[in-house]
Amino acid sequence: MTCQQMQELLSLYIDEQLNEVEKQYFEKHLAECRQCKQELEDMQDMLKMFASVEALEPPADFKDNLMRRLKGEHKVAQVPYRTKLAKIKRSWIAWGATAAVIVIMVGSVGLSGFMDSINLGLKSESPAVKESAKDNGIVQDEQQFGIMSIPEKSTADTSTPETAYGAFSPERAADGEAKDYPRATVPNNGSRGLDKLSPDDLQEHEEALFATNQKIIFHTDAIDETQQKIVDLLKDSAINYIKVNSNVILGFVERNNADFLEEIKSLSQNNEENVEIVVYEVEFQKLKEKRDALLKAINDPNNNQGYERKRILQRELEVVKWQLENITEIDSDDADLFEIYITE
Amino acid sequence: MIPDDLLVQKVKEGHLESFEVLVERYQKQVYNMAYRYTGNSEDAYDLSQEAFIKAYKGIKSFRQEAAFKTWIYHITSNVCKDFLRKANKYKEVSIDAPIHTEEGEMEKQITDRVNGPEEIYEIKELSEFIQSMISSLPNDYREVIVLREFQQLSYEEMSDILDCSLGTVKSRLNRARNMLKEKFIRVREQSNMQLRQIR
Repeated sequence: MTCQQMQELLSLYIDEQLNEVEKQYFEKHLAECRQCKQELEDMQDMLKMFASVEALEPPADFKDNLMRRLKGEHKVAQVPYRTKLAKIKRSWIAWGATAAVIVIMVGSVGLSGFMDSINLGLKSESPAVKESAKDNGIVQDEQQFGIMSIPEKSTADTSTPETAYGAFSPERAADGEAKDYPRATVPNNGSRGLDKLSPDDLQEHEEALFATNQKIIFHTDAIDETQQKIVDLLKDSAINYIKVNSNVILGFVERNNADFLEEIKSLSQNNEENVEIVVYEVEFQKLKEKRDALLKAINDPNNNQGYERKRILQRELEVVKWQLENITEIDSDDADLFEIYITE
Repeated sequence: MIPDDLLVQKVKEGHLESFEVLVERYQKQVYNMAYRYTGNSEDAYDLSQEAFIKAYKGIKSFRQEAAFKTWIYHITSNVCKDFLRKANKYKEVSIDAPIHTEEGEMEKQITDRVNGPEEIYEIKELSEFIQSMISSLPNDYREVIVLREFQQLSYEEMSDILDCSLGTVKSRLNRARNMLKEKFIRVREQSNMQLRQIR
């Protein structure tokens, strides 16, 4: 072992990170080389000096001040930004919970077929697709799926989504009445009920499921600060995640809400050139494929991923699920979806 | 003692008081970490507050695959790095740009605050001296020193927090310690020399 190699191993030797063979070579050289021995002692002295430094106490008001600030946040977080949208979103969450219960009860029917039916069923709230759904005769007749029966009131009034989803509101789902709301009736014919829906029909339907999206690329000097401001604007109708070179926020606002765009523009230091808007479409089917690929990557036992990588995948999955959950609603005439990239 | 995991769960359910317990538990480490990153108590205060606020806001996205400790350190490290990155950017501009005066342009005089012998007299506190050594390191090296020497984290924890491989952690830490050792030896020699002169 050369003195140069010794230099590279000093720190690992001190922390006992060398394997047996390396350690033997290291110690052999150490016994023969005065200079390297000195280097080791110097480093140990220095680390001893570091270890002798006592940790500082945070200022006395640290915790109280922090908690005061958080209590402010806590309050703000309780107030929905767009009452109407927030209501819809909450009802979606309730839907998710109901769906979970039904999935457990359905068991052998199979998750993906069931989710398809749920998604198609929800999609039927949009009048246009409801029409085409009728043509194909798949959505309105839930018996064809043989999974669940949807109470009439859940599809009765398409003009007011908040009442249309009222049957699934968390307040009602949480109480004892929940049993009166959609629940599984395990079909006698098992999963065969699903066969009536041919893959082609399904495909056709899902291709029709997309949302028009607006992508905003936002240039700023303060990524985090701007992200916070935009999230504050969108409140609970937003989800945000961090990509390699930018922070991304997905959020939806009421359709043709000019105020929102104005506010976004005003964040860009009065320079509208900092904001680029691209209109594009999100396809339901592609999102589903992405979700499946992410699930596969996360659960792959051979893939030895680091904490951060896993976190990123989980976050992406969460975002895709969020989109899947909301896309039929976004496609309705109520909301615009925004994908906001904040870059430096 | 209620385990961190359980507290995190309660925070996710909207229980702010459980977060207060977590703050109580980790404020000292987080504050010290920010202090060692930045070298001053005002920034350390602001950044550690920011780290906790980010944690609170993002707690729903925390999957609890890693310990809360690792997660809060990860956030603190990112908040501090972000701060240093911005501060360094500013510094780079100010170092490179010549100063404009009425008689024309002049170059800035940049002094090395770490190694000037007269500075050694000034440094009374060991903690301050050590801080001046850490502050002289590039950011990538500074953070491994902060995590290892002050937070006493394992190599695995460091690799999780910094999102880099074990190999990178090992080589960065070794290089960082070698850099510090060189400074340490130089300063020690200088102060020995000065002590002899005083005698």
